[in-house]
Amino acid sequence: MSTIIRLTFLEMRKKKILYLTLLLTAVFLTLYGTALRFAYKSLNHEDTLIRLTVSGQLLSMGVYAVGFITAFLSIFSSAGAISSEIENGTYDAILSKPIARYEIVLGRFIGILSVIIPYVTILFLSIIGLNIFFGKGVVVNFSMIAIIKSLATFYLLPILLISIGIFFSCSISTMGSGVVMVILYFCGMVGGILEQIGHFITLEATKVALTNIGIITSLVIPSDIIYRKASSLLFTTSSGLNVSLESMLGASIQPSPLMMGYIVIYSIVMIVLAVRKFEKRDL
Amino acid sequence: MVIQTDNLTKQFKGKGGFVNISLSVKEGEVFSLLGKNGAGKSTFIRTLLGILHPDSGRGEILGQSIGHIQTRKKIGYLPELFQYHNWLTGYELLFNHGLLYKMDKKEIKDRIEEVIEIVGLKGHEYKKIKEYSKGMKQRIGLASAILSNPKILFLDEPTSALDPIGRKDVRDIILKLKDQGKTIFLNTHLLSEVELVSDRVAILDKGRMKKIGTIQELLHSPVLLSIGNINEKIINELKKVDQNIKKAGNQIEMSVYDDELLPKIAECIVKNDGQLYMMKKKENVLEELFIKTVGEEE
Repeated sequence: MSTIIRLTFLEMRKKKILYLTLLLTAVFLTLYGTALRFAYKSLNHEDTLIRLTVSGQLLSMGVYAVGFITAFLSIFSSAGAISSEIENGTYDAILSKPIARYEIVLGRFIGILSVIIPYVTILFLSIIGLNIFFGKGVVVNFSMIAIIKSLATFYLLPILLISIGIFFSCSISTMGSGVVMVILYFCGMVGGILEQIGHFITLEATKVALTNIGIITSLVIPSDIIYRKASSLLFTTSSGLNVSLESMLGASIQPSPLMMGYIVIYSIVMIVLAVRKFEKRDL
Repeated sequence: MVIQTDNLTKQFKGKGGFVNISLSVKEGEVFSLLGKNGAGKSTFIRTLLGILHPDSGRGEILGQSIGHIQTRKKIGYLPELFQYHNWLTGYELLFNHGLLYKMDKKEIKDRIEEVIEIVGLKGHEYKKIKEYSKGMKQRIGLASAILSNPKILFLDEPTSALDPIGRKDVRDIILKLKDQGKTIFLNTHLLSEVELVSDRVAILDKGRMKKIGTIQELLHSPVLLSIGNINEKIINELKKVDQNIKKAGNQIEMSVYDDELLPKIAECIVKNDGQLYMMKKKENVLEELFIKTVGEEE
């Protein structure tokens, strides 16, 4: 399995995926940092409520971007992880060696994660760091525990999406897998937003309907839940940023710890199903 | 037997593949599977290696059921459509394949030096595979197949992308490996290759085994004679060697199972006042047999 992990890492490096991602991330962080610099400069002259609201939105936007970039990186790196190798015929040479099929699936899963987890860490901490750096006097009392908890929750996003991506990659073509994953991700996102909108609506029937849509989509694809939970952990009252929770990108309804357990089990089931599918498949 | 199959069948939704193949391959033997494109040769090898799951029947390699993971340590395989991670260099590919064989790093490095030399890729090992020509790709594939010094080698169309010199090189490698006692399972449609390296041959057509035997059993290449002043005495003497000689004018075609008889045949013709203008073994016999076999039902 270690050789498959090694090959996955080598692939990302050799195909320049890693460098391109890091380069574009640097561009994004530069733009985001520049925006923060000007925004926080002007916020010093505003009321406390406006400062808290705008700074919350700025940070929320950054965290949302972390989720979005992580999600797409996870989707695109996992959707073809197995299927593209099957389509290219590279498994003929690999599977004739003394390696079990489950090792290939797990090797790909761990290999992709081993690249994305450090990436998420760097990106997430950069966003927080930029906000702390430029938001002196505006963003206050960031708790280290809150940052760690939020980051740890964020790790569930690539774990979940890569496990689903690998499952589809073991089952259908690269193109099919990519399309299904993107649609599923957007369904989860829209479901999450609808649930948040439901929170603001006073008409009971509509509120229930939107909330139920949110719950159902969260059960089918719980990716949005992870972002909401990570946000809610970060935007604590002590940080002075809980105002930001009251938006479509915020987390007015906080996901329960049970839901986090559901995501972990969901990911494990997806990987088990992926292994079973790959074991039975003619390559 | 190092390879044994018993009524092994693999089809795709009831089509293609191969049906009820029973064969056995002895240790140290070069066994060739001949067949047209689409006859089921590659499917057969890929099933033996566990890449495809059989529908029915049984197969064993080195006494273990097909697909047994530890047995694969002793197997080398060159796939027909050679596709490897082309973003790796030849050296990196071999190194990673060595790791897949669970070889230790020192052993891998030493072995890479050897196999690169054997397949004639010295000086090209640090180029990316995507920069390799078809022939070079086939050579690096062969290097990967022999990297672990396997007991059994499955070669699927090993010379298909090679020029005549490359083909000769691969034939020489096969013969060298045979001398080292390796068992070689060769899939090919190049008949000349089969005649030159194989001990036994099986002909597969539309997924079914049509013929199997040693080269001698299948070929027993007829001898062509051109005789001047041909007479009854000569004919009768020749019939002592082969009852079913074919005569057309002064040309005779006959089966001679023992080459030691050839000088005696020449002597007998001369003794009986005949003039021997030509004596030669008929060429392309395997081709004739192959076309006859696979063309039987068309």
